[in-house]
Amino acid sequence: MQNQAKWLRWLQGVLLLAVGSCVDPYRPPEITAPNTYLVVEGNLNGGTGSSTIRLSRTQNLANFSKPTPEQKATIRVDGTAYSFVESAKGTYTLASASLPIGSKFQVRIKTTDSKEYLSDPITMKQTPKIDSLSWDVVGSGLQVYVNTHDASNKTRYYRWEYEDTYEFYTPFESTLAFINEQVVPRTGPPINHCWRTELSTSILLGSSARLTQDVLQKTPLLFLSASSPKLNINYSLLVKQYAQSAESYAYWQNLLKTTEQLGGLFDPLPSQVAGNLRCVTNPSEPVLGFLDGYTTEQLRVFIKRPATLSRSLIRTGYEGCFTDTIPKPKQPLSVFLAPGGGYNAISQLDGTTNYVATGVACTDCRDIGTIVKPSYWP
Amino acid sequence: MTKFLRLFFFISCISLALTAAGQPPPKTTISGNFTGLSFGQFVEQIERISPYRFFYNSADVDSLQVTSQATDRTLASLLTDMVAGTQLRFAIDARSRVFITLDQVIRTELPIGFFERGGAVDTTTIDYGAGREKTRLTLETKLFEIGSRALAGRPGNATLAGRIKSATTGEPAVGVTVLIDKPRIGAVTDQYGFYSIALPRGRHELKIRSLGLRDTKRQLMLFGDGKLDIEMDEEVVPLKEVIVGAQRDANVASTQMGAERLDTKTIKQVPTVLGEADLIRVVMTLPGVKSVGEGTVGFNVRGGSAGQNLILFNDAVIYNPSHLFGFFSAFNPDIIKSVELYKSGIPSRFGGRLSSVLDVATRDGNKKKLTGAGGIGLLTGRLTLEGPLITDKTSILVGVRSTYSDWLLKQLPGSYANSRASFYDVNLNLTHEASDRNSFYGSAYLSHDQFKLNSDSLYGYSNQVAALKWKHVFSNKLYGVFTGTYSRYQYSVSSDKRPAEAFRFGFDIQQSGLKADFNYFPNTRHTIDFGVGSTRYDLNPGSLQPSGTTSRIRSDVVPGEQGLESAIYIGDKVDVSPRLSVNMGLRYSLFMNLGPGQVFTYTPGIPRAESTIRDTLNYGSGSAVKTDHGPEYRLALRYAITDAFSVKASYNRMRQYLHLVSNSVAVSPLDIYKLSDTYLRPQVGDQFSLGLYQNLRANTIELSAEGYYRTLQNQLDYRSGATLLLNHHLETDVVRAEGVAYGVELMIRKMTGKLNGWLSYTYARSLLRTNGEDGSDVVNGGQFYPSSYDKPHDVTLVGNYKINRRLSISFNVTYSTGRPITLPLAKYVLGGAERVYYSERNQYRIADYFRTDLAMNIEGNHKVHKLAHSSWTLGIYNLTGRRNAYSVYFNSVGQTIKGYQLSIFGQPIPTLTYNFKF
Repeated sequence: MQNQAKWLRWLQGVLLLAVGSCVDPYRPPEITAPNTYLVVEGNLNGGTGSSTIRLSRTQNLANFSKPTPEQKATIRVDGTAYSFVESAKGTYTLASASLPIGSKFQVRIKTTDSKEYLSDPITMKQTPKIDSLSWDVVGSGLQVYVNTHDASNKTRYYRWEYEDTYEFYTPFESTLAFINEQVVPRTGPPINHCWRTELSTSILLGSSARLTQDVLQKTPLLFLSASSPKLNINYSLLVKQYAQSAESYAYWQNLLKTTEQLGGLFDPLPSQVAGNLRCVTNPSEPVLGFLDGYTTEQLRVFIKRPATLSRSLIRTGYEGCFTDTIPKPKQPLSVFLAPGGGYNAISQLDGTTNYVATGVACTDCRDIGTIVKPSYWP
Repeated sequence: MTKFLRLFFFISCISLALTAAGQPPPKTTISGNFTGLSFGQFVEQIERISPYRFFYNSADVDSLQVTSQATDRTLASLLTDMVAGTQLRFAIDARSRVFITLDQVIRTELPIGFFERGGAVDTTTIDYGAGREKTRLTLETKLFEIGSRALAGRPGNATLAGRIKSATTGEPAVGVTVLIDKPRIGAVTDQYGFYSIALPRGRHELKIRSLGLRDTKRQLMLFGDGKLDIEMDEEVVPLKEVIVGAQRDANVASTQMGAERLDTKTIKQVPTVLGEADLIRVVMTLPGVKSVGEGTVGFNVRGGSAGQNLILFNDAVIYNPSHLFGFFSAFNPDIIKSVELYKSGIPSRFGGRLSSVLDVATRDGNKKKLTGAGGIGLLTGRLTLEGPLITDKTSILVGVRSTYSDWLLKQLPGSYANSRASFYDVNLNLTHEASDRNSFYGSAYLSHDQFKLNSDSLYGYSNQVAALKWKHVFSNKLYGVFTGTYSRYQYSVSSDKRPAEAFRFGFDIQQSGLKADFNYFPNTRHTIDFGVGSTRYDLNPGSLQPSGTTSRIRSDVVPGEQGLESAIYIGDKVDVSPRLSVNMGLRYSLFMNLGPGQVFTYTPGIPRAESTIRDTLNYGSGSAVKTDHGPEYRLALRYAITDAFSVKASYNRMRQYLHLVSNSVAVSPLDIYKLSDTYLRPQVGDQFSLGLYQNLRANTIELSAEGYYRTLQNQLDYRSGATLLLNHHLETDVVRAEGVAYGVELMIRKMTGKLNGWLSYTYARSLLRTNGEDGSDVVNGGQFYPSSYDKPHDVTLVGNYKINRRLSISFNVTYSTGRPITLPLAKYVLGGAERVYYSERNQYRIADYFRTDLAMNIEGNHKVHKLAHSSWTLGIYNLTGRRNAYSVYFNSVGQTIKGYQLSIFGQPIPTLTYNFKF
């Protein structure tokens, strides 16, 4: 038996030698260099209304901080007197301007390092209205579709963004607060009832180019799983529709294919996605992003959970919540209830100085939502 | 055998001695005119008029012409005159029996005192079985008369044809040069050992030279067309130094350029990763051949993609020439006879791929006796058996190779417990020589691979190949080979770890072909080959099926594809003058993509995408969906400036109708093939090449420099993020690219002596450019960019040093530029999600590749007669332990993206293999 073990160890050694593979970090100078290229996101708003452009910088792959906004830049619409104003860090707004549908404009950006960037001519497009949003139960979830059309057959390419909001409760309500080392009744609005809003993170595109008429019916927009906490109490979806130029559509489609997956052993070859901006001062410097010009159409709907989707499937994300009795021997109450202690008291156990408590996140939903009811909420 | 002969002669000597002692011989004289008779006729007459009886081998005397007249002469004096100046000897015994022999006189009486010595064989008894050496010398000095004597003195040429075989195994000897020096006329045997050479009538010394076989010669008196079969001796001791003993001047003398011929001995001496001789690895050490990395399957020839190599195994196509992700080649080294790689000047009989032809031929099997060979390495074992079914006519060869690594992995505790990796391959060859004119060949090959390395998916692939050939010799000047081939390659991936997602993904391609090839030798100056062939393709481009009853995978099957590729060709090698020869050829190929099938039409002017499909055209079964055809020109010239220095030039055009669709850098187990159709156009490649060849030191050192320039049309490149598997409209994800490749290959080679091997340097570029037709994507702004296998500098040294007859050391040093990659340079947030900014395609390179391997070969003793010959190969792969990158990949780790480089053989790997032969 011992001999066999020895034999196996020897064998393993041989095999490891034979397989002998190893993984090393790969950090060529091209990757570790601080590649800070300008990223431009936003659009020109066709007709009258405000336009917003956000400027930021790319980051090194190993950098884990938030992207740095590009501040104090000047953005102008070439050939007009319109100039954007920095309304927040890196966010530039053109409050009221008239950019007539069908006309072409170029956007010129000057950064503080005195580099100048220019967009290709942007044609202002009229976005048709969203006809409706519809949904069906498909498999174990709800598929939401968008329906739209352009009677003039001019739009053909569409892009959507959405923001969705859902209402939820934490599993426990904390009626007691811990103030000045004292447990006191909690005042103010309840912190266990929240609304959470999320923005779309995927690129949503549609095209009617292959159709004889510019009509999009039941274009899949998003899929809500039956287990999602969104379809629980009430759920609201706001869809924004943008008319796209063919170039812009191609840009987003490329970006979609290239960046929604990362290179593996047998993964496809990625490549660069060229936008419609150029650096005038240094033509070899890449500029990321695509500026298009359009009006925005939006539509909000509320969706209730269909009866065919069993409620028992819902995963609220609070499945791990449990209650505990505090304090513990040798651990005073403040260890649990002071900021950073991680606990909120739910109630006092009758006739004792002990409390039933649970984790903060199980009673306070403000970490992932807001307790302020949105104005549009019924 | 020798012992048996000795015994036989001992017994016959005894009986002779007894009779000799019995009665005195009668004295007979002979009269007559024997002028102009053949020896046979002469014997007939003598036997009629006298008591003499003749014993001889008619082959020994067929060139003997009797010119004597006799009046009352003794037979002895008559014969003495007749055999004067020949190797023939005669002896007449007491019973009037006449023995005609070669070189040695038969002793018709026992030595004096024979019986007094207790029956022991006289030490002076002649050993008639003294071996092939004497036979060989005899054959080399004997004058062979070809054709009828009646034609003597006629001017002009006559055709000599025949087969050259190995004397030991009876197998045809391929690539043997048959030539005369004055005037310099030569021919080379084909894969059946057949040669045909047109020579001026008259006396010649025919030289026969070959790889690994002992050079020999024949004295000829050529009167007319005739046949001469030649058996060549093998070198008894398999010493490495014999490798290119012959064909020494082929480098300079042949019109072929850009071709490399390797035999098993060369293949076996190059050190390999797991100790087993590996054909594909050795091919990769040749100039102009590159691989994207070790442990990968494909190879790239002169800037072409991995799918542009035609790999033929006994004329049938092999799609995946490797085992275990490329760690082993699919070819069992014990059954391979020879390998030829054509990089340029590709003969017109080959077609269908742009970049190269790798022609692998297996041995026929020993026609004389049963023999075997085998070996055991760290992961694999192999065994080959061969022998005659009917001696000298029919032979069989069976080879089996398999891993036992699956077993090894299972023995290991922990993380390897769920891993499996195994392969096997089986070869079967049958050869039957029905007659001088008809030979039949059958070969079958099966390989299967399966692996599952700590993942839940099980990969498997297999090649199935069969070929049947009938060779018919119509005349000395014309023979034909009729071939039927069948190849199938299939792979599958399956997983049943999660029953709800259990699936099986499969792909397969099969092709069956018929062709007829003819070789015609009209006269000294022309060698013509022509033929016609057709191949039918059937592809199942991909199917995803649920497996098990609980699986919720939706089945998805890409409709099958069918195609028919036909070609007709003619080639002529013309020796314009002894210095100038020209090889020209024309091939015309036609490809039909056949229904049933569907073709989508797209909105013109905008990129093809699923969203721009306008219409679907349906084609019925058998109807032509798309037909493409075109000529392929082949031209090669050689001008010999001196006997040791020549210049060669060639041009060829190739067309390819079957595309390898792979957007990963290496050939992966998930690559698919696609036939040309309405959108994927046939690939067309042109190559111009020019070479200088110089031999030094009596042809022992070869210097060569070859340069080439290639253009490649309709290459495939892929849209960013293309989906290739289960894509019902592949045309939306590929882009048409044009390619340019150029380079210079320098090589110095020494194939004889204690130290032999080669050193090569290659400078080569391979560039692609997309032109963005039909509004498709433009990669890198429409500029030329390096292809994934563009590795400009490459230096390879392959060597073998023979310390003594039993010990030799082989080494292999390789350096090459790292291959290009596209790097993620930065990340940014756009459209609500983090995106990665990539560099332009293939703008960066991974680190340079460098590796040194060393192997030591220890042979057993070299006794000719022993039960089994064995040898040990001890090697170290990647001696310096450099961590060459196999793959570079990026993973999201928390908020950051990190790059990793995987080296598969990142440390020295020792290997040990035991080989045997019986």
